[in-house]
Amino acid sequence: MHGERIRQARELSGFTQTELFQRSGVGQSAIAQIESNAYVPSDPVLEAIALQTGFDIGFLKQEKPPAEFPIGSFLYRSQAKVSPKEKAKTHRMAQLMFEIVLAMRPKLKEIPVLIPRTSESPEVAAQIARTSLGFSPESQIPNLLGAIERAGVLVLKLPIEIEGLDGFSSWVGINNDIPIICLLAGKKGYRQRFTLGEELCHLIKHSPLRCTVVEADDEAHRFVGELLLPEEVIRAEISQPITISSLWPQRARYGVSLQFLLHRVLDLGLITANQYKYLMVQISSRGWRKEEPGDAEIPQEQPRMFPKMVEIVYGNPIDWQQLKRDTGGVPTPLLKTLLGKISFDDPGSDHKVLSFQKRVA
Amino acid sequence: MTQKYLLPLPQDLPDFQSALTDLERVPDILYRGLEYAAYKTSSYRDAEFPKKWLDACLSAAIFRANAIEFLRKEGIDAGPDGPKWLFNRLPFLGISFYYNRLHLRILKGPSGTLPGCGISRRRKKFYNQLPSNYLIGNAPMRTKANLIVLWDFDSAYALAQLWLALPANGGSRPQDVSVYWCDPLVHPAEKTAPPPLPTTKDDGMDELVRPRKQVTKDEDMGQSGAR
Repeated sequence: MHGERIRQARELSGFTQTELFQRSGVGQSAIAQIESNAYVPSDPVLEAIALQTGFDIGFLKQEKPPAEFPIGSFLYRSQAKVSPKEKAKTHRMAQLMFEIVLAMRPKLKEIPVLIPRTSESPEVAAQIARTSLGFSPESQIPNLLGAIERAGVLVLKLPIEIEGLDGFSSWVGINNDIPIICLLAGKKGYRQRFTLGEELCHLIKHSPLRCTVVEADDEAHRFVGELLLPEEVIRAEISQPITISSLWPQRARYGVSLQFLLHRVLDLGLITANQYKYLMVQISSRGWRKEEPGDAEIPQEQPRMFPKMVEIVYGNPIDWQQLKRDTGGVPTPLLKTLLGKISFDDPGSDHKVLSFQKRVA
Repeated sequence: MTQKYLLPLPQDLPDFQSALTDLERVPDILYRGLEYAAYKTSSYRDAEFPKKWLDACLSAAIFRANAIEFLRKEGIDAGPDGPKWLFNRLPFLGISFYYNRLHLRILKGPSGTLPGCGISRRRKKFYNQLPSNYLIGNAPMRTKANLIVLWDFDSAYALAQLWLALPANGGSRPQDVSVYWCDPLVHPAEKTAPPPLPTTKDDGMDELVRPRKQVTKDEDMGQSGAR
């Protein structure tokens, strides 16, 4: 067996070592030793762990370690706001979904990756990205997620909600040749499009990271600005005077939040810092800072590539038994939770979204 | 301050919803124009008296001057509603216009409270719903109701909520005024319908994700040849 599998099962179940000790009766230090391959547990110990985590003994006994899944941009996503437990669970979930992809891969035709890797400035990188996604410099991008998938990026929607963490990305696979963007559930409005843009920047420009985390975040912001709101178009189309009401119709047109639009017109020098501050105060006083009007009704783009892969390999409805076998014994309820958001009919699935409670500051 | 509400509404006067229907896109234009005017007032304050409060009369005058400028150049006057509306010239930068046989005045009033009429007989007549006659081109028109749009600054000289009111009786002081109704005007942003669903059909995914066995021999050879 491989200790990393025990750790994977524990973290996916959302337990710390101490919590698993309290539930299973297996000593915390023993769990630590098992996970670091310093101690081979007996069957009764494994059974106790299996009972609490819901994983089959077969899964825990696998010799093969979990697929390597670099932490990628997770490293610098709102670190302060996300607890290690939340972070571990999210990472493990993405890793497990990637293992499902790996299990399906031999049965599927290879998907070409069309996104570039460049060290150009964020603005130039965004222009290159627009071209590789198949958009002209002045066109709007109606379905960003679809375009990113068609460029060979695997987009996974994780059934987990964490306040302060919208998504992360990484180049994965043996040769680090598969770009993946993971999106977390429960985001409203145009936030998901912004996250997609940011993660696309990290894949294109920051793998490997050659600047500080703060610089990378700033570059990602500039990249998304140019990707979704190209300078030339915005200068031509946004007319003075800029007020909340005059800017509002552009929000739906370009699929960005009002606050991001304001930030962009500030970056382009179309408003002064004073005017920006004044407009942001208005947004705050109207209570639109966290959620803008209509955000809840804005439909979210859904990934299509992963569901399509599952449909081809495991059928419609899904052959859960086969999928469980191929993944080494991942519990069916967990598989159903992971695949629960996929769009084709499956009356047997009990769709669940795992939610972490908001932390009190 | 609470103002008296008079009920029932006389049959010949519009309720809030029918007034909104008659006003068509005017409330949205007013939001745009008055937001612009509030911004210009704030800019003046920042440039001339940073971090200080302006005299209330001065700030209101700057606001009204800019609102008139906007409404005449970029608002109702500039739109396709020319034949329907008429902008008044009032003393002390008062803003008043006719639209669809409604007579509107734009007045400063905190949180939906109508100001008093003071000694103005003209304003009292307006509050008392006396109809007035006007000309659109050569066509004589008679108003069917007098409406008031109330505005105010918030603490940052930004435009606060706009209200639409149908006055009933004018009095010198605010507490002597009564209204038939006074309701907030929804900001244009808050009534925008959400955009349509992004299309997911024909997204090329059927072509992109295919089982390996379906790949033709030619394609396989082509791929390996390219490598």
